[in-house]
Amino acid sequence: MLATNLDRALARHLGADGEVRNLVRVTGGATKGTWIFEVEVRGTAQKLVLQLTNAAAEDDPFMSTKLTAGNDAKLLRAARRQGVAAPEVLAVFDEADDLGTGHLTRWVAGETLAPKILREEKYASARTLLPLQCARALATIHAIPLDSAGYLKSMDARAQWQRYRNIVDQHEVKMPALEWGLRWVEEHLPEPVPLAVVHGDFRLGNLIVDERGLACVIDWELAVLGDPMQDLAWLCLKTWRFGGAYPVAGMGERAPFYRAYEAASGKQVDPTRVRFWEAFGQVKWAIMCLSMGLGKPNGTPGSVSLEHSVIGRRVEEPLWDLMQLLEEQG
Amino acid sequence: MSIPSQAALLEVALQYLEAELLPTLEGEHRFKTRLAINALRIVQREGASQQGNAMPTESALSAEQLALQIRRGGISTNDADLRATLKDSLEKALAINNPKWLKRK
Repeated sequence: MLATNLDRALARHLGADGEVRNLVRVTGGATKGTWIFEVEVRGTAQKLVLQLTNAAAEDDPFMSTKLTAGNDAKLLRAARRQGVAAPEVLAVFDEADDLGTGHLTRWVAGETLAPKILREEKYASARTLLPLQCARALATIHAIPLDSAGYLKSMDARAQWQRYRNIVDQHEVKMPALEWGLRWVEEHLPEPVPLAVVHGDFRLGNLIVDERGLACVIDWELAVLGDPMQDLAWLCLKTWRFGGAYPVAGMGERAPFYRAYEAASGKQVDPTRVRFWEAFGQVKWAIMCLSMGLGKPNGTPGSVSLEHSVIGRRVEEPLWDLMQLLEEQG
Repeated sequence: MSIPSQAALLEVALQYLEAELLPTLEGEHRFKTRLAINALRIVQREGASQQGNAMPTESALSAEQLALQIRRGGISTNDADLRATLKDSLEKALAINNPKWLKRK
């Protein structure tokens, strides 16, 4: 079914003349389906990536905040024009394709699994390059002209706090530490700053890495117009260090990372604001864990996927980290 | 009580999954089998911790009341006793859900 409709869509959009080969569903991306496959287009074999928003994602409490496939494609194109290594969009599906919502991008070689990137010898030199490459990539993302990103929602710190406050209020489960975290965030909301395009989920797992470091920035669905410091902080969350010993993606120190961002962006890094976003990031990740574990309201046992069920039990990790972070720095 | 015990059944099933099945798998099923093992290890630790823990519903109730009190602004986020209480309950939960997290730098 998928392969047949895909054959037809590929003929329609790309003029592909063969059948889809080696269609493989890849892991990662809990709310959407990602497949890799090969197809012949005008005599040349091409390796492509199909992303479809799956039906289960309709129950995802964060769905309303995510970009549609069409807007995601627009942002990927704007990012590439700005010079960010983002996936090259080849087609956006519509109703005539009968595939659901999604798009097609060119496959990029490399690794996304954080444990491999952090520990395998093969990536030793990539690890020395990646933190500063991330700083420069973020500076470039934050410089994407706002007039090419009108479809992104403006979400400053207060708007994001309100969104997460509302999500927690809809849950039946009440966690004291989570309430404490939300209140801390509310009490420490920073002064509004000029908004920029922020990726929203810039971390290992959403970066394709090869032996030379950063090859591609993927998974842009959480992008908004927001405080650029949000992206710098998210990359430093303990959760996204995947056990690495250093704050930046588990492999870099903060000072050189901040300096590289400042040099590339011409903007000052405000460590206090980064710290606020790191604390807020931990609260957000806790709420994401809780929401995934709960599934849809009144979900019956077995209706939540294995992956989401296990993530549900990770809710205390970022809250523990939050209390450590605020203890260390007052 | 039936023999082997619940704990013994769980452990022998986990040993098969971890030591025999997992090394034969790749890709998606390796990833998902790891998740399943992780889920069962949580169940195992939770089961062990509940032995001798008489009133779990009572503590769940007081946690909800504390959450509502914080939500309403009834306690300052700077309250040292509150912070200590929250840390303590997070530590207990992590000891079940992911004990390794407590040792992370």
